[in-house]
Amino acid sequence: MKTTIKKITILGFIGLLFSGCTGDWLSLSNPNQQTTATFWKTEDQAVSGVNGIYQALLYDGTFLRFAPACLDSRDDITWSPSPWDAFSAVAQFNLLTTNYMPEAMYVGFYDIVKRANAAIENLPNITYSTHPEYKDRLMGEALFLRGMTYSYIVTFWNHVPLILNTPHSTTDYFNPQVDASVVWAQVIKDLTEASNLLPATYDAANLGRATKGAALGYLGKAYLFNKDYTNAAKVFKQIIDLGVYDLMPNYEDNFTEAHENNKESIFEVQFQRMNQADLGWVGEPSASWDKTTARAITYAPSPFGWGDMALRKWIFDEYKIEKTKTGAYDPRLYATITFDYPGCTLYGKTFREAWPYTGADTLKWANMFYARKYENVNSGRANEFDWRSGINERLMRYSDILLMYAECQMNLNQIADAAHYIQMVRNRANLPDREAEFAGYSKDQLFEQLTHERALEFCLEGHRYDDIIRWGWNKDATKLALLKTHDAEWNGYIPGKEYMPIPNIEIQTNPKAVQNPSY
Amino acid sequence: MYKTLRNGATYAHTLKKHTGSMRLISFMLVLLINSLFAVSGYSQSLKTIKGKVTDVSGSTLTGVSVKANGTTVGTITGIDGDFSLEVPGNAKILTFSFIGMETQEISIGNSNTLNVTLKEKTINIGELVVIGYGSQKKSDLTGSIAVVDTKAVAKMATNDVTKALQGQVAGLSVQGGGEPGSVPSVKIRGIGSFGDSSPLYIIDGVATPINDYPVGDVESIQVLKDASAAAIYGSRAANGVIIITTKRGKNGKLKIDYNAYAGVQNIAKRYDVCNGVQYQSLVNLATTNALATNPSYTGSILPANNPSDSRFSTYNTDWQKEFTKTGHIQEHSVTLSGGNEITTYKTSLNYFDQTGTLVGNGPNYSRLSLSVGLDHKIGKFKLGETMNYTYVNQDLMTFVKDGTAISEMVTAIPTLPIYDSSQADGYSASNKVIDGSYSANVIGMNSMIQSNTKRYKFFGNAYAEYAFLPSLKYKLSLTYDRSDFKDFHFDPVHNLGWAYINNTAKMYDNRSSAATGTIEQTLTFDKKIGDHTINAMIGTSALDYKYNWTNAYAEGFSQPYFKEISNGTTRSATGGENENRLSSYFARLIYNYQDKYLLTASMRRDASSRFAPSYRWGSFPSAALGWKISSEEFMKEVTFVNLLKLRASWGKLGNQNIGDYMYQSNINSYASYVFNGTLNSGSAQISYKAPTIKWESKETKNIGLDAELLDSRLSFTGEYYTSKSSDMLLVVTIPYSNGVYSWLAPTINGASVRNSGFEFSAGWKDHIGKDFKYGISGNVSTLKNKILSLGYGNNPIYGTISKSSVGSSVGELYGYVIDGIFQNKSEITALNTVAAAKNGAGAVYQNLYTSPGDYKFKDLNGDGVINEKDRTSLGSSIPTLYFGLNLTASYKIFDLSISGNGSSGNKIYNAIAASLEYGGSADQYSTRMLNSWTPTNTNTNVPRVVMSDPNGNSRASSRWLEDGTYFKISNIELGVTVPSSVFNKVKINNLRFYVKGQNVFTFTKYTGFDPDFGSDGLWDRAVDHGSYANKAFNSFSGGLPNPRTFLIGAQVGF
Repeated sequence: MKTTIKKITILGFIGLLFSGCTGDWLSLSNPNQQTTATFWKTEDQAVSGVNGIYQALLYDGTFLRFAPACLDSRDDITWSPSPWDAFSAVAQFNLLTTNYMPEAMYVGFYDIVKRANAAIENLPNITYSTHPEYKDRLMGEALFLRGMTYSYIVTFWNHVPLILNTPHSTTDYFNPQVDASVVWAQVIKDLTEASNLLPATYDAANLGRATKGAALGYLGKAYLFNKDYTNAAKVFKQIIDLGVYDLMPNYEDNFTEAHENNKESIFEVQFQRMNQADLGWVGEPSASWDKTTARAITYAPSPFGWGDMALRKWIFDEYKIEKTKTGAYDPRLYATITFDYPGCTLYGKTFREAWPYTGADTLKWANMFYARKYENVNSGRANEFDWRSGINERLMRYSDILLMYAECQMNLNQIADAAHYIQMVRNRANLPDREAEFAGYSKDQLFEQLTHERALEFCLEGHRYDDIIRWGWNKDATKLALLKTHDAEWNGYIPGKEYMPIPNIEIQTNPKAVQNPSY
Repeated sequence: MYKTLRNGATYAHTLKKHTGSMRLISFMLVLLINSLFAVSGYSQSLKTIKGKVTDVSGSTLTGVSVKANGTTVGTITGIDGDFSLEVPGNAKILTFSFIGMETQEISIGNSNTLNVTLKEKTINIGELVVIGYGSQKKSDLTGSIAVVDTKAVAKMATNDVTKALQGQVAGLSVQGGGEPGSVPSVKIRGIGSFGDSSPLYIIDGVATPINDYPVGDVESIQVLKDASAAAIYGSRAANGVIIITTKRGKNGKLKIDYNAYAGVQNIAKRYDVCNGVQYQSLVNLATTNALATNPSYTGSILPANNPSDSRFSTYNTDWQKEFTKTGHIQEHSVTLSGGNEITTYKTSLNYFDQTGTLVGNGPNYSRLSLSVGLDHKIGKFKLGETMNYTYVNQDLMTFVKDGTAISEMVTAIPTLPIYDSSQADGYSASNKVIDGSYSANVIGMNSMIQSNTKRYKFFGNAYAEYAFLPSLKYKLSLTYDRSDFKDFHFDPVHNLGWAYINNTAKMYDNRSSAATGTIEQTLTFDKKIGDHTINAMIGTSALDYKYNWTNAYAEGFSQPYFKEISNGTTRSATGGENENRLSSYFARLIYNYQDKYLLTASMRRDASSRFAPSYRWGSFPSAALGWKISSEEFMKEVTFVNLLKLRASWGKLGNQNIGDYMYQSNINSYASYVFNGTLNSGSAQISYKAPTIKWESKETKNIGLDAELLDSRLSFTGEYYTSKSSDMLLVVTIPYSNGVYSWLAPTINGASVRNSGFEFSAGWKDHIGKDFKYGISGNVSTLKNKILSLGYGNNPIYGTISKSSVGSSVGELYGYVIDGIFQNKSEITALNTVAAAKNGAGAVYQNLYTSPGDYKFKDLNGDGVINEKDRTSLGSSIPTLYFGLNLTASYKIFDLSISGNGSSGNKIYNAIAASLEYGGSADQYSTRMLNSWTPTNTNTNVPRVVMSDPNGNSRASSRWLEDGTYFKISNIELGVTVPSSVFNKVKINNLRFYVKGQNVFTFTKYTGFDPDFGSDGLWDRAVDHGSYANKAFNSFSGGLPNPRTFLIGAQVGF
């Protein structure tokens, strides 16, 4: 009896021993986030997924800091006194392929592409029963964002992979570069489709979304960059004829928080201070990420910001070439540049309080030119050192449409029409009406005038560098010499360096990647 | 009730009625509680036994425990070694035990007097070694198991047990800095995994982290190095296993031990940096050089360095002197232990406190721990529980920049004062326009900003063992291990340098908790049948780990600061949780034939929640054979050989040390965006995942020879192993054209690595005369690491200065080769001409503004230009040879011990030297740069200084690679044991005082702080920033080099 009990007990224990845990007990899924398998199913998800593409514009490598900084610092207006080589080396055309800036930009811009590709792939599978209008609009937004992004990618790097799908196997991770013309063709295709799908305007709640005008604007720009003036002019005229845009009476309203998404705005990146713990530079977004830009602290002069950017004297002089109808200096000068004049205040101080020099040092005042556009100089803040600025980055303004249209018309020998649109932009700056005079210019004369007008209108808006390259000034000995006179950093330029280096990390991870010439 | 319970035989009856395991568990808990109150008593005829206890030399022994077996009667010997004990008439055997001596059992027989001689305990061949789920005689081991000399380990004054293991075990590498509370990186036999490659720690049978554990509580440490030894822990054993047993109570009277030490610590080394005048002359030279040779450069002489400027600085601050201070270290522990036949107990209280060697708020580390251990033996039942509670309070170095405070200290510019009364915060701040340097006021930073982490750790384990038969035992073990964390960071309004300005006071209050619950069951059969000794075991284990966190943030605090979240004007919070589970089955057979032929075989099956259902299971088998040659007949004559054993093993181990849910692609729902001022929900798939990831496995082969000779005075172990890790789990960066950041790339089974090496350890222990005893032991091991496959199609993986590729070792150093210094313009022009001829007009050899005095790099691929294709392998970042040495000696009341360790075969990238010798900025310079190339100082190997360094003289090259070989005396200790005659009036059993020095000498050519530094541990392991940051808050803190320590201590037993 006793041994029987013992045996039963032992067997019981062995049974117990092996009644371990299996199956469902081991099936755990992430309690923090949903899986991809359950996404792209509903209308709300479609909206959320498209909103997620826009969020990729707010990265260190995109418009939170580096894209504007890279565009500006390479031109002949802006130079970089930064001890950090991410800024100074790019300004001096001396970037190593391992530099952080091109790396952050490359992955940042392709992150937009990645998100747009996922949307473009999945949106057609969703049924829009509640909001049938979403169908076209969302696809239009995704196509616009992809097309616009590729237009930046191809102008930054020139020779890049064209990825239009999400990867379905690991071999899809490794993509070869294609000729720039192939990328431009895709840009034109995406933006053409987007312009056909997008509405011209939105209700208030959706202000900031891509519009038909935005798609046309970047489409026209793509034609212009490829010197297809006929198509470009056609598209720009279409925007003008939409009748939804006009110039803001006050130029400066385009660069403050007060008048965001105004009637002059073609497309802007939406920044807003949300009082969150993190700036949100790179990687996986977190709930603690703010929606602000670091542009203001980057460009603000020391001691109000990092002072990574300063302006050359020639642009200051350029503004003074022509006075307004009332004999004043161009109002755009005061909106764009902080310099020493009575009444110049920034962050609650006068210019001379900000830099209280004495003795011989006061001579420096006459040569100090700093960024004012997009800075919170009149916000009540003492400086930019909370790193966060809520000012929207205006990527494209109606005045750019007008001047690009004028440039097309000029190239199509419609000189009078070109003069008309040039003067239209000048009028807002209260400059004398010289339309008739310009209409009598030769194409070359008008071009010279146009370069002057564009420099003043878009100073610190990232367009100057693109203009220089598409006008071929880097290949024209006279113009190159002029650039070097304007900005000694151009002495570092050698042919090929007009494009950014393919970041070393791409070269090292992608056996198909080829470095750009001269790096 | 408890009378019944005390009868073991009734347990089985009771148990039978319970079917569910939960009821069994609760029953056992009741049993445990009851057993605490169980006291036994006997009443029988008595008999008095007297006697004297001496050691081999004839000296009497005081305090020897004398007990009558089977009773609770016992005493201890007096001052003259005498004892007198009344024992029950039926008592048959007396047990004599004393610390450091072998316990003896003597039959009482008819005698009334017993004089006993106790032998000193040696680590001998009969010693039991704790292996996974059991123990085994050391002489019977077939796997590679190193038994650590815990006496040597206990001598190290450190917060971390693993730090004390440095140099103690062949094949075990311990690397780490000396920041208070730092956790070194521990590796067994090389890099076997690319994720967390630290070993699995098993403390008293339970897997739990070893950090924050008092060194003095450790009874024994075993290091399981090969697959055969570790395979029973299959799933998590790929990086080896370290089994630690802690001290438990022993049957006997209450024993009280008090140990304490206190000492001072200093950073011994300094970098030679410029004084104010030297610094200014170099910065100015760099500026004029740039202006003269680089037309794209537009700087000018900085005001602080310009004697004709009103802002010219005449300061000369020695930041290394001002920022460092003497740190303190102390530890106190009180242990109470004892027990009776049924219950033994041990309670210990430990306090450890270490303040760092830097001025300001941190780093500091203090720890208070309480541990209670109880064991009960009632008939066929054995029960026990352990409870530890630990409180850790750690102040971190408060640095708000990547890199470490220590490297920022070295590179701070001398022309700034520490304090500046014109600043609101009272500290000076570098100015971009005036100083042009990124220099941070490290003293202000470490004094104003606060970072603190508190850990509250509870560890509880209960076990119950029931012997169905003498040979068949069942064991159930339940563990709950929980840590709560409170991380605090406060950043007041400050200006500590133009890049370190904070406008609004910020506070982070992060709370998290991690809990592991484990249930383990084993059934063990252990029997000797004739010539066959069989030990067979089967078991299951289930583990659940949960982690959750809530991070609160607030900003806009007003002064005076009340540092609580509610006082911020804006507040926000984030949070989340993770969980993972493991389920395992395992079995092992240990077979011994005639004490000559040994076999161990095991099998483990594990399932992990970290893999998709169809990839969840992994199987980890092992087998080992041993031949005890010394037990053979033909060896009986060879009396000087005590043990000679040959053994060989093979096995497979697993690893799943990756994050949770790595096989599932997720949608990030924080990709929100603002439209017209309102936040709109946004979602995106940010990272890519590989759904088919599976267990990483490691196959190990080991062959070893163990010998003990000359009455076991000489011991020797030699081993050779080779291991191959396959399907290694790692994150391999995918091209950035996928829009996926490197750290968000998929985790894949993407690599295969081989490690192999020889390991030798030997020891000699003897005495000369009766008073002088000495021992020497040492170990040497080699390590060869080779990558067999890697990444996507064997595409190499690059680090900052490393390239890991098939055929190379992990993290092999990689960079440019310096080919001298350009002495004149024509050399450069000639090369540029060739470059243009080969690559088209405009192409240059190095840079457009390369000038005399710049480095000429070697054009390794001969294409006429220097670019990333001209980099090459520059040596190993992994030491290939490790060595450790222990010496002990004692003479009468004095004892001396010395430990040392070192490694060689690796190179170190001295990152601090690299920043001091950059030559292109207004940051601090090394005095070495005073010898930089100028047209009048051409006979030098230091290139010219030039702002922005257009030529890239500072690019990752062999320039800052240094030989990492070192040998350091990690510990020297001299002790004196006060003779018992001195305190015969007081109830003191033993009393010892000692003085010691740690890290007193380091023999090395390395010019950095310490060749034994903490690094990132994988691709860039060779990069030394003065020790890697201990990042509790991402990049808010930094590492410290190992300090030189002097201390005094006392050990007293009552």
